[in-house]
Amino acid sequence: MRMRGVTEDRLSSTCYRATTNVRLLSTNMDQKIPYDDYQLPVVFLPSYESPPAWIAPQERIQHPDYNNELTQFLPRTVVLKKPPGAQLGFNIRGGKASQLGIFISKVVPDSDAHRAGLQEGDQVLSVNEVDFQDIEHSRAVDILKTAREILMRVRFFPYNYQRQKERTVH
Amino acid sequence: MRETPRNDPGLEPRIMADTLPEHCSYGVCGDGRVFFINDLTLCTAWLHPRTGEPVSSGHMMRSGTIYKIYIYIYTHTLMTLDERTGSGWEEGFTDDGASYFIK
Repeated sequence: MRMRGVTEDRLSSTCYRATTNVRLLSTNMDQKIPYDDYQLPVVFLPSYESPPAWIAPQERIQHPDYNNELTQFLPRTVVLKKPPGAQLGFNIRGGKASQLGIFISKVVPDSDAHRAGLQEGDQVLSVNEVDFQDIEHSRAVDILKTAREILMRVRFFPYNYQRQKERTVH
Repeated sequence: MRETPRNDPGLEPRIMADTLPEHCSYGVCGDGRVFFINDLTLCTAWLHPRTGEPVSSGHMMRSGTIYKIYIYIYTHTLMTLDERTGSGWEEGFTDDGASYFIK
């Protein structure tokens, strides 16, 4: 595992992603050098997450990190017609501020969205050919609210949905 | 190799596009992340053994040029790098919104 960092003062409330001179620390390291000795701002990185450890083929069938089908995580197309004045039938959260994408956070039971297979944890990849992977939350809401027919590309991705829920920014 | 039924294009062809070498297959975590298994080296990795790129790891791929990055690594040594990001580097974000690159 290797990390290269690009960051700014973690005490600052401003968020930005400019590529500048940095100094970063992994949370795994001993903090032997006092922060005052750093000339540049310091940031803490999340611990690196390794993939599941190797196990023998015969053990994979029952291992929860190995025995999942890819099909449930593949991108799908969902088509919804929204009559004027009707509700969407689902809620979204996320957006550019959280850097993780737009996710379905709730689906109204028995709604068209529910019947079309939309579920909590689905990441919205695009709506009517507009890319939703790096879009502002407000713009995403706008597009969904004003559309009469919605052609969504979604994919079930619990990993990022969970990270999204853990963030304070929507 | 796990059976993959026909489905929407996107994720699966990326894995199959560069056919996985012999002794290699892929696994799927419960949270949707895909990783690669090498039964010869008995190792697992996020990166595809042929393309060197991750598939559905949860981070975004970025390419571009990074200038003068100081890295403080486990040896407590400061190094400067002046290089272009190659393939396999993904971008992550801390809770503060700072970006970093992972391989």
